Amino acid sequence: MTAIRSGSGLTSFVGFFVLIGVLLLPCGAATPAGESGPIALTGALIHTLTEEGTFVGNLVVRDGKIEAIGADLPIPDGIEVIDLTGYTIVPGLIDCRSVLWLTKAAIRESSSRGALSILDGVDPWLSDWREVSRQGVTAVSVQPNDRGSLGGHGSVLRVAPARSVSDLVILDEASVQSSLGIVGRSSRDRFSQFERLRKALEAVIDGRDPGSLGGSAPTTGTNRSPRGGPPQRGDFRRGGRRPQRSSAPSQPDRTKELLQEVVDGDQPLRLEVHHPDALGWAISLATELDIDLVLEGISDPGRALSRLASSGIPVVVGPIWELGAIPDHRKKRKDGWFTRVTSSGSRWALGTFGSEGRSSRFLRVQAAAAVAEGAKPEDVLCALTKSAAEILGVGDLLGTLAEGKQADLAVFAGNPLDPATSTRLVMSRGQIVHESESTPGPATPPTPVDFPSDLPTAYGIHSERVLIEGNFRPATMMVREGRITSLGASPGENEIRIIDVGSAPVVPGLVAAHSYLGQLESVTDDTESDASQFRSIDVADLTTPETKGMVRGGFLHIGFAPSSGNTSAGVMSTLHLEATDPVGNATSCGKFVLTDSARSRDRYPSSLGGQINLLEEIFSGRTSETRLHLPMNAAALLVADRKKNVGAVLSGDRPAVFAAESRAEIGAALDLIERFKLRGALLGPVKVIDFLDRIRSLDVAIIARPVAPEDYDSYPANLAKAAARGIRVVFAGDSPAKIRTTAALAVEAGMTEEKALLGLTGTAADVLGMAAGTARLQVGGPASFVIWTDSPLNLGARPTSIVVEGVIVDEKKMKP
Amino acid sequence: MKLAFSIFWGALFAVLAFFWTDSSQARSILYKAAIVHTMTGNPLQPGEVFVQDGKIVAVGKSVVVPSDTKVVDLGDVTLLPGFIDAYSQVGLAGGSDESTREVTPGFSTANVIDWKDVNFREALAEGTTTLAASPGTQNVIAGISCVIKTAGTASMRMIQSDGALLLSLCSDPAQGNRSRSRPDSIYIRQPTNRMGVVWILRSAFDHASRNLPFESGAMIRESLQGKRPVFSVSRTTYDLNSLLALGEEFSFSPVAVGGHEAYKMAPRLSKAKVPVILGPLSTGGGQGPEETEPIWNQAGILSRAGVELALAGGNLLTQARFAHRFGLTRELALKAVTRQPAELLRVADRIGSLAPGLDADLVAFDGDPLEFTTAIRWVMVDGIIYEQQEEGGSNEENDL
Repeated sequence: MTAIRSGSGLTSFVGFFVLIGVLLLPCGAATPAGESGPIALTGALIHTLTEEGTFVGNLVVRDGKIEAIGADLPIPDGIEVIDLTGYTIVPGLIDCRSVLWLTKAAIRESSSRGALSILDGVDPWLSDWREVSRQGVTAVSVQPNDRGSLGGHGSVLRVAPARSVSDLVILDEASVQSSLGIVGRSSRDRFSQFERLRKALEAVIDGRDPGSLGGSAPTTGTNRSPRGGPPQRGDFRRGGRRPQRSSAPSQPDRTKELLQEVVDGDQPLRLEVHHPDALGWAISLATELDIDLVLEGISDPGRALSRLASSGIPVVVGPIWELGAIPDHRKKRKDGWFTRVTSSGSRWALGTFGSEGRSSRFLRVQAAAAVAEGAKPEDVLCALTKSAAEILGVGDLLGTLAEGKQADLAVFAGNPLDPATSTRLVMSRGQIVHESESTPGPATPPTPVDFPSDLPTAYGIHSERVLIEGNFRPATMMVREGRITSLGASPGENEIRIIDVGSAPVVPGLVAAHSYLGQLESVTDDTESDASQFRSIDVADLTTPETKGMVRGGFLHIGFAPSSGNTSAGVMSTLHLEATDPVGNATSCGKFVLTDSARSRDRYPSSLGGQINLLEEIFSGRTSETRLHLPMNAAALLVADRKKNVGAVLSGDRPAVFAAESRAEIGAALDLIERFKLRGALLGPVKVIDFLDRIRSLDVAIIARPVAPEDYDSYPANLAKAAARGIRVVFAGDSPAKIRTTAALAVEAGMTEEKALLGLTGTAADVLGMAAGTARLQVGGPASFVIWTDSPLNLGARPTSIVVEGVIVDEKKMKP
Repeated sequence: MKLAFSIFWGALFAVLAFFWTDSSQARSILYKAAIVHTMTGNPLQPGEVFVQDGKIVAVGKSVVVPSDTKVVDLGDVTLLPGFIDAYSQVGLAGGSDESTREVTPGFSTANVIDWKDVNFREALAEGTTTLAASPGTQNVIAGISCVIKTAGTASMRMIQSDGALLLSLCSDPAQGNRSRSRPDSIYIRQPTNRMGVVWILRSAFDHASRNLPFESGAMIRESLQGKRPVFSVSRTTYDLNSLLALGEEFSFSPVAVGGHEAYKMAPRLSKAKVPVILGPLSTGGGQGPEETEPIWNQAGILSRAGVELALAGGNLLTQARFAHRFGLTRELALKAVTRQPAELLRVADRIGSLAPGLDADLVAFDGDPLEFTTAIRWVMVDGIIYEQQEEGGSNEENDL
């Protein structure tokens, strides 16, 4: 339905511009994409990834290729020039494990017959490539689903507008898919899968029929041919079938062809393994049979690590930060797997291993995660470009910027490995596929600094970037006996040692405004949905791996919450991790839940309406008894404690945190906050956009839950809009990486860095009612701070030294 | 050449857009139509409706308006009040029942509306401008419905947050409840059969009317005394008989919702002055847990017996067309989706007919509204016109 408001002319006014826009569109798009003339890109910092290294210079693109590149390259006359002074050019990024361009059915499909060609599942009309392209990704490697023991051909595709499959193809038969241990969990399963693969390959080498591999039925998907035979190749053919090299049986089975190609070295076998035993077997297979192997997955290199290093087998790793649902075979990944695999000396590239096409847009988030895990930025950039191209067999076309190479490149307004850096321009085969206005920022990747491993009782720290109230300023911070004694431009006491950390940021301990610290079970109770009497502080265990992970990740202040299983969930507390007294505020907020996590058909309430009624009863003091059968004394204590805790919320002493996600839930939470005049905060409000005015007028804070892949497009933008209206936005989550990712994506979506940094520090402390000076660098406050390699909003940054109350936290103690 | 062409079209559109902007800025508009069904008397042929700031200012064969008023001549169009669905579950979020309890008079649907529910748009598209978002039938005393517009800004859309009290005098609340069948659970839900339904209702009414302590007893008592309408979902003759009996016993006047078998006892309902909200009208097999037997001409039978009749449950236009085709008079078929539900919901002073002071909720038909091939040209809610969306087009501005 279309509205014409008689009351206001706004609609028609907007309509007018839309009309004009539509009208002018054909003119703008008159030049068909892909036929752009020669272009010169000038004045940018160019990472060539070749022996030429990195320099400021020019680059000329003609006919889809790089015609010339150099520091003092003269620009030919009459050629279009794009001035990119201050920007950074890198080769187009490559996602080595993607499902971009694949139809939903094709993403599921796998087979153990090898008859699949992934190109048959490619739909060039899908539009998610734009989001991927916007991140500077110009090529992706796609292959059949990883469940097959010999799943068919994978291909390397462009990330660009296409009219046909052939427009997209960079390399058709790029690799042969295989996996060990994705189906089945036991060592025996893995070994039998390995044995089948080995025997088949040996048979082909000896010129025998390798037989069928791993059963006749496809493992998943719908690729069974209607004729009842094995799946046939579909529509995409590049000019007939190649001659069969092995003896043809009555029914052609491409599996043998495929194996022959692997044995001949025409294309590598891409083998996904996760367990150390399967990794060991895979390495043996490659060395004994002398076949090209590319390994991927690898959750735990285990004992096979040194053999992996000496074998020279390249690996495709990822995802380093899990952003969506984690498949079973990746659930047991051990902390530090990434560093162990990539520091072994093997050549490596990154894959997003996404479950949907648009997942590839997280490639730079994964790259940042790699940097945060300790990989050198230059190595990560190489993994995204040069190494990726070589491992995929397209090194002659892609991966470096040099004369004659395909003009696939990305221009960033700063450090390419920071996902918050915006993309200025993306080019695929010389065609500009994404362009945006952006102002160039600093392009230098962060480097760690030297910091003493022990600190005296009194010292000073000087940095060019001390985070004070959301802004980085040069300052010297004096610390004595765990407290900040002065904070200014020059040191106050001359005899005291000043540690100069240069431009490394000094940041107060970050705040996770809502977290379970991996203790969800101990904060869950499902006897009665009014659990107002429970206090999370009473079960806080500060020795869990998640707690240590928070400290390692620079998060020193936690809003520790009872679970969302009850409508009145209980009392949140704040923790100051690693402090002499880690209990900050034992009774910081009341938590109330309107999401469906607190609905149960087996007890009241089972609906949103019931949850609202229950909270109305609780807030108006109408619940005077428990439904539990308790001894009289216990019941009286229970009811008294409930009243006390709810009373503290009603009086405004404690804020009320409402878990609310959908529109109706958010609306109901705001109604309750307004009606009972609560100091409110909304936890995880996804559909928040319609309520910003009300949230602002009620002075309600937003505690943002980590961004999920499905709301990547809207959620960070909504948070940015909320912050722009003056709403306090703070961040929640159980992992430092996810919390920072949410904040960084909000910045990319338009939130100011100041507001995002305040949301990670001082504002969050205010929202949760933490003691004055918490999560802030201010005189008189605790000297709890973290030296970072770069701003925490740069996902590639990581903490190098963590100081709590003036004392360095022993890194060894924090190891998992 | 191409550029010149574009400039020409751009200029043309700019001119058109100017007029368009100008026209919609008018706050008062006089609509002239071939037929205007006011629902307060005989249709006006032709008729004029004068709309100002979202309200109807005047209706008549010829309305005198200030000279600078914008006049829109709709030609052959027939104008009707916007349709009203007196029993709907559209827009409810987070569950339409609080099914862990049997008696939930405090369950207020006004709390749980998702104003952007896509079903509002569907209802609007077929001319429904107002609906009563009602709780489901899992509980014996289910809760309170609210009366809301299907379009407009959220703050304006709530007409009556304290609508009707919904009872489920039918077998629905007993579905799936088994006494002592779940020894592993302390949770046993009542009622377990239809007798239990009536027992819970009767004892709740009894407690409430005698001021005995009972959850939300005051609210039930007020409802029985007539503070708000009491709707009861009752489909079979025996449920309807129980409803009449309870009505006499506790002296309240209920409205029967559903009423598929009401036609079998039309004279008795008429005598007891119990209106029936029929619907959804269909003969597609037995309905509800009781497998009731609706027939096509039940609306006609009820109206001839003198029972007040509204149609509800979605697809109002289609229902009215079928009801007319199978025996309901033209006027009553239109009334059953406009003025009658407004009266039953006690919001007739706001909506349901075309009269001065009422909301400007209109439906414009290209011809006879009860003819199956007639298209809706547009629907107006509070003076704002919503047009049928062009195929494939969508307008962000009016995303409901």
